[in-house]
Amino acid sequence: MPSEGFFGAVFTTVDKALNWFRLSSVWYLLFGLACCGIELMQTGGPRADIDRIGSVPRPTPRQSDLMIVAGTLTYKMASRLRLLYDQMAEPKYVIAMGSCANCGGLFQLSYSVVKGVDKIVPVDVYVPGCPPRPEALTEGILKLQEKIRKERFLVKGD
Amino acid sequence: MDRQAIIKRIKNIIGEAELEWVDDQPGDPYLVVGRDKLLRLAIYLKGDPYLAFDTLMCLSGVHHMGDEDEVEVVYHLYSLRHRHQLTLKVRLDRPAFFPHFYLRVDSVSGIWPAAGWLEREAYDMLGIHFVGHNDFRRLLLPPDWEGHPLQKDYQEPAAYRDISTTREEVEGIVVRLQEQ
Repeated sequence: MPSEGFFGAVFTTVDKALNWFRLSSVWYLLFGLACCGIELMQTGGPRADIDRIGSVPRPTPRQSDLMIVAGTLTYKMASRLRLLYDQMAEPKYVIAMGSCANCGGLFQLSYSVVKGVDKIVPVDVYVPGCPPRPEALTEGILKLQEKIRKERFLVKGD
Repeated sequence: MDRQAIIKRIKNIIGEAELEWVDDQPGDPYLVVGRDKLLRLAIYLKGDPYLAFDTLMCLSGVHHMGDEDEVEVVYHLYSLRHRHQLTLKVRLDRPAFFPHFYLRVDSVSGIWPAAGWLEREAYDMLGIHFVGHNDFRRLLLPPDWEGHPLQKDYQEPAAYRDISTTREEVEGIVVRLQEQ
């Protein structure tokens, strides 16, 4: 088969290639807890369409790379959130979507709402808004992709 | 039946002394009954063919903490057969010592099955014990929750299952807003 262009090959490092593969297929766990869940559905829908940047919803934590915590987390739900997070395969990421997931938001003085999901699981990207528009969540996923692009798995240190 | 006829009929069976009919307050007029008469009255309200209150629309608890500390249980009854309604209240004292011991009232879940979950919710939020309920536990909050959050003197604990219930930076914002 005749090669085209400059040797018909692309040179890169394994780290960069791996990161590019991974950031191009950030599959997210469906975790709609409240009204942010509706915006999460819209983000996956045809208008915002995060499918085009490689994010597709998965209904199981075993096949997900990203957990988008969309909505108000109560203390009763907190143990379930932790369980689902523990079931996800490494490497795994978390986006806290909306004010409630960031800090408790509107329910800051309530007795039953967790004041931020970062008390339960480590959070990579915080998306503000009540609820955030699909564009904001798309931006959050792009920010997460930038984070994944800079990661190094094969070399320790640095 | 109109309201006056309902009251007259109830007074015939329970006796006028134990009942208090309140209609000078804003909102629906209501009937206050002692907790020892509640079960007897409830059976009568459902069973009597002229009253026939076959539906419990709502059962809720109210905590008043003004001059006297008392908890009310409010029953909203409706008759599908006769299309009339009645609001019933039971008042419970809540002394400072052993309040949970005094917040006791007979369960009506054997008469109106709809009361089952509503009584569990009232227990969950206000700590009212319903004696005779066949599955009495919390409805909404986790089983290891401490306290009843809709009581007026409820203090939120510092942590639940090692999750702290405050957020430091938000506390800072609140303090800054108060200083301004």
